[in-house]
Amino acid sequence: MQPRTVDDNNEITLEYDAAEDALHIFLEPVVDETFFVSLQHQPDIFLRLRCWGSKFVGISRKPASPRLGAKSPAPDAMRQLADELVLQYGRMEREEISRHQYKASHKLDDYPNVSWSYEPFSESLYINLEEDVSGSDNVGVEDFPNLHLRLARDDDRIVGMFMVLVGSYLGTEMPTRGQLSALARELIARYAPDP
Amino acid sequence: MTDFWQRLAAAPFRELLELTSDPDGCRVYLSRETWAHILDGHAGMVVYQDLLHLAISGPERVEAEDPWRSVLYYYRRDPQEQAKRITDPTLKCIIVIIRYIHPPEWRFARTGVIRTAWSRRGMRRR
Repeated sequence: MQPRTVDDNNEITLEYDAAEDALHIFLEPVVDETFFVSLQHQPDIFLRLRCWGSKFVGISRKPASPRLGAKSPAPDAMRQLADELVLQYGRMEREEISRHQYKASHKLDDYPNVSWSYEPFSESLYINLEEDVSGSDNVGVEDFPNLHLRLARDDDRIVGMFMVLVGSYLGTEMPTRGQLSALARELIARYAPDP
Repeated sequence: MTDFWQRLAAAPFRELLELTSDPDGCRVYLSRETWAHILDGHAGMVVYQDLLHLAISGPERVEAEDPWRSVLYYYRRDPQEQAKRITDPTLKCIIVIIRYIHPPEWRFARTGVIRTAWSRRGMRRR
């Protein structure tokens, strides 16, 4: 289903993307490339920023159906949700957004010593198997594009890994916390099964 | 090149400054915000400021992520290491990822913005 515009009031435009199950709110017309930053404590809320200068131009909710109540949501429900989101997040200052954009560290339940973080502009997933990975060299991996292992300089043990352009691999511009943690688990299981 | 890094250090956090042009003549920009992200994930890049410039203006290899060439990888080996170990396949190189966008500020001209960069052993394909 193609995205559709259901409202155009005060230059705020709504668009429901059924493939992503995302409600997009455009605070102004978007005429060039953008990227998404998810909020640290509300991972289903994404802010849309321009690639040129990181201007805040939109708000998205993914998944939207838990709030909209249907896979083909009614325009009224979308407008109501959009009003709430614009009221809550529409006036966020850039400094506040930067704090969310900057990498927040997350833990994996089944790997208590491992932490992961995500940087949205470069779509980079960082997985630290040890607390300090600074004294390491990066090496590419033959069978997994865009993945690099961090090897300790003294004994080549794997102390971490990072993957760039994760969105292309996952097929979404808006990877969720669940998708990222699942990918982190997959990479650990494959390349460092005993961290 | 020192001049660029001095200007970057003094620039507003998100302001994009022109670093160089790619081999096709497209201008490539970097912000202090992105440079901070790069150093946060890859602290060793601090010694490769000049190589970052060289990797974009005179890359040894360029790879496209997609058919539209909206994301390109630029590779350049460390010339100092190269001089010492010419045949070493694990010679350190840096990789720069540039996203090409079309901002209305530049009349929608193809314009490069550095997304990230890091160093690694060896220059084989990603």
